[in-house]
Amino acid sequence: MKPHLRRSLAAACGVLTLLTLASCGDPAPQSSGGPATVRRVTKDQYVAIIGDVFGADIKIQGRFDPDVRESGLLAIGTAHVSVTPSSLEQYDSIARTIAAQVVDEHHRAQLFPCKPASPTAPDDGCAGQFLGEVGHQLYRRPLTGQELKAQVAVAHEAAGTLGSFYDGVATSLAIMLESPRFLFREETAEPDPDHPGTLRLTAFSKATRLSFFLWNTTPDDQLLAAAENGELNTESGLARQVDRMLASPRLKSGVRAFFTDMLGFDAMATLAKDPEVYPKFTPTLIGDAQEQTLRTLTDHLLTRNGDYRDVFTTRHTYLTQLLGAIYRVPVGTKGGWEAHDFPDGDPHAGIETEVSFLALHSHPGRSSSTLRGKAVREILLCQQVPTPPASVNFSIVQDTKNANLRTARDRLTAHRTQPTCAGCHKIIDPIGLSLENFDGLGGYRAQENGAPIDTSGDLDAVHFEGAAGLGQTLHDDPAATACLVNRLYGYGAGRAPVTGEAEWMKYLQARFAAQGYRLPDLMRTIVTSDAFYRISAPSKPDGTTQAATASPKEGKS
Amino acid sequence: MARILNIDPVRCLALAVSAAGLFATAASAGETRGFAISWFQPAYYVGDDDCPNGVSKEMDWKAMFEKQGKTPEQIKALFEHPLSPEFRHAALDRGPHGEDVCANPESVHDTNWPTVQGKVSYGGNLDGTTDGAATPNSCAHQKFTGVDGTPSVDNQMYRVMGCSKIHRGSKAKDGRDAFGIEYLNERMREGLVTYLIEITGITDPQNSDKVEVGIYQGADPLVQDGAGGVQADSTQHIAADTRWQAHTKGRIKDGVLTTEPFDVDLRNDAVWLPEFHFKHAQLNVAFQPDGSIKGHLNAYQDWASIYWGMAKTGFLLEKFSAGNCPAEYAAFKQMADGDPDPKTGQCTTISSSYGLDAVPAFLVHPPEGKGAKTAQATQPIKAAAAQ
Repeated sequence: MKPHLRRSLAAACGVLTLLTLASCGDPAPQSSGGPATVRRVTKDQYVAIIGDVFGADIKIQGRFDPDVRESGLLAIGTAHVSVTPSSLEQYDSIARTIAAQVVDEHHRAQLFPCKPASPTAPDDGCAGQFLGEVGHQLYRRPLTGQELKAQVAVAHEAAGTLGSFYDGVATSLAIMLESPRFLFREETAEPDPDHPGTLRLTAFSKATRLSFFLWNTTPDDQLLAAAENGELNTESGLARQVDRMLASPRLKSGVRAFFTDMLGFDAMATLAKDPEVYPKFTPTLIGDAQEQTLRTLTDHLLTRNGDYRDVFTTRHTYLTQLLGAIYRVPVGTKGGWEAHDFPDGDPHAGIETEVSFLALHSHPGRSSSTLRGKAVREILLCQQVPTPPASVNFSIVQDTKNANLRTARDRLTAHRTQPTCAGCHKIIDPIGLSLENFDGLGGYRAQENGAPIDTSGDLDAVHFEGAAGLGQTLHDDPAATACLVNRLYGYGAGRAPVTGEAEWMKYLQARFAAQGYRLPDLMRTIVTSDAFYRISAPSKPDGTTQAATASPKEGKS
Repeated sequence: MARILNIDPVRCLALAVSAAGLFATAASAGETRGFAISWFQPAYYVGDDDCPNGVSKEMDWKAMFEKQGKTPEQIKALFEHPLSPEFRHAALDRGPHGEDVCANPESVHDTNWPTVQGKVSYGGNLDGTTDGAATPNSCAHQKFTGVDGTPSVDNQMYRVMGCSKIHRGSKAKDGRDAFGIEYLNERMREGLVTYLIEITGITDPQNSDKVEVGIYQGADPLVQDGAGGVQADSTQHIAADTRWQAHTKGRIKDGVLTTEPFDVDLRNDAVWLPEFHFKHAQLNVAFQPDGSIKGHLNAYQDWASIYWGMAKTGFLLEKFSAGNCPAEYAAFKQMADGDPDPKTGQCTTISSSYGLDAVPAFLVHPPEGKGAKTAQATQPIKAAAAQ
């Protein structure tokens, strides 16, 4: 049997098994859950929270520490970072700037629920009302009585010293914005009464995980209320909130944040190209390229509720005039976006043929089949590619003007004769070579150095032709959908799935397949499950597992 | 088509879009290519011996003031404030009755302007003669030999301006680095003006007997690329106002497009020359391997409008651009070689040549009628494609 047929059959059988698993009404398998996490709020989340709580016109000026990528996601890396002294200084500066804007004359009438008895003297009642309401949203739970008392005391003292009620409140607000309670999403667990002996996230931690997963921002008042009144701990109550959140336009922000993370778009900020080689490269273009892919994805997956697998083959996208110049198609809309359908036969099909992917996984002055192949394996298929040995001689692949090795395929073939390189290149180059019709910025080319480009490729014994062939191969590869499930779950949980969640992950994949690979359905399955909120018991120093015990109630004093 | 035109599939598809638009509108055969002009300059050849008397120099104001009878103290005071109204008045208002000589260039007789004495120039044979003898449509003048050896080239504007300090660049850069020329192109790239060319009916980019050519004012600013050039393959809207458009026919032979004569007006930089009025123009451009075109627009221009365009800056021209209003006016008048006035015989236009580079662009035609602000999505989009 031909390899691709054998593989297709295997894939079909696998999907069939998964479909059977998911469609027979079997209950979701038990999950061990994983450890609770403490995640640093990302820059984008910080901005979103401030916008939600105080309004989008509050300016945020300052530098945020870069996040760290772990297990393919920054969202997981945020559980393993701290605040350095220098970043604390930045947080302090940013917090003070925000607080000053919140209490200025332009904003105070809108943001304060009360007026102080005197603007030049402390007013504990009004300060407490404001700080209590704001703190609820910033800490994602009600402030304890002790916390609120302390914040009001700060506002009182500062107002007395500064002779201004509002400056006093600003001082207290700045302290809240620098607090670990705000800067970190600290999850807490409690015994699960429905599953004795296990732990689950507390209601407020559940609301926080839910909100950042679906909306990439802090829980809104309704969600916090549902956490406070216990609704979130009931199946129907949780379902109501999930329905509301999935129907909200904010879902798009959450999905954009997820794919921004999964596709590694944080690297776009530092992407550089040689202007002599790629004069069409500009920072604005790269911003547009990232936006193009996010629009393609949200349009397909949310607006059209499309099959995730089709993101590798779709010819429908959105373009600006700058992007039109790269794709060499007319874009009549000035200063904005317009829908575009690449016709059948056009080499552009799927997000892996968009400028964001092609440019990001290339060198500054040339394309890179190796980087692109590696990106397909690591980002789209969740497979690990070993790092190259330190002693590799890249001179052959870098010599793009070699008259005897005119195409990337020629150069990589020569490079692979080095035994230390052959192993890895064998599994990544044939993928990337199928994208060689696109230069290092994503522009189409039929030839390199006057030689026609051979875009045949293969992926795990499946042979294909060109970018469209790669797209179809990814579309048909169960690893691609399994990868999305893995990444999405890890993104929401803040950690990679653990061994005790293996059956649960299989179940998720089966449900995803049974539901036609619809992203909103997958998100619903995740967030309405017990497994998503299950917390594994912490290990004792001797390696055994501690029995689940109650944690202190949140938000109560 | 890809084989014949040696184009890649993306361009082929773009051409299909183009062709669809064309079939819907004009039923022309062949492909359409659009271009945005990325470099445009009066073509002033820089040879070794074309300015034997040197380039123009700033006038000797001190000598002039002395001639006007000013005392050393008065002259010293003037030079302490060379931008003052007093200096300007003393410098410009030097006509016999105190006339501003830029506004009244015939008020003084000044022939002290360096003109080109060389034999070689860019340009084309606009009057159709071999020797420059007067015809009913032209005045007698000397012919140049083209830079590429073409005989009987007319470019009297080069003869007048080719030794102007701010218009003469270096030989190494073929004159492109002249201040006045860089200024013109910087302004264009900053978005001041956009000029577009559309060639339809191309059956073979090397040889097409009958093509149609449109020259248009663009409605969008040029898009700059990361290397400081003009971005290729951008989408450009054609300005709706038909006053700034022209259409002509042409022929491509051995990869070079030559058009039939046409007249076109184009808006330009208000500081130098607010409007170009090209008459009996001919486009002569060669297709380049990278899909761009390079060549020349050879045309007669209303010389008076060129003079007045420069002279309106008056003091700036004379003080900072090494100009001389009455002398330049006299040179233009003397060298003018086209369209003689039926009554006076004085030629009213002057032959010229403009070098141009143009990058591929997608051109969007405006909706019918003047004044439309933007093109509609439903309008046919005429695609341009480089090979």
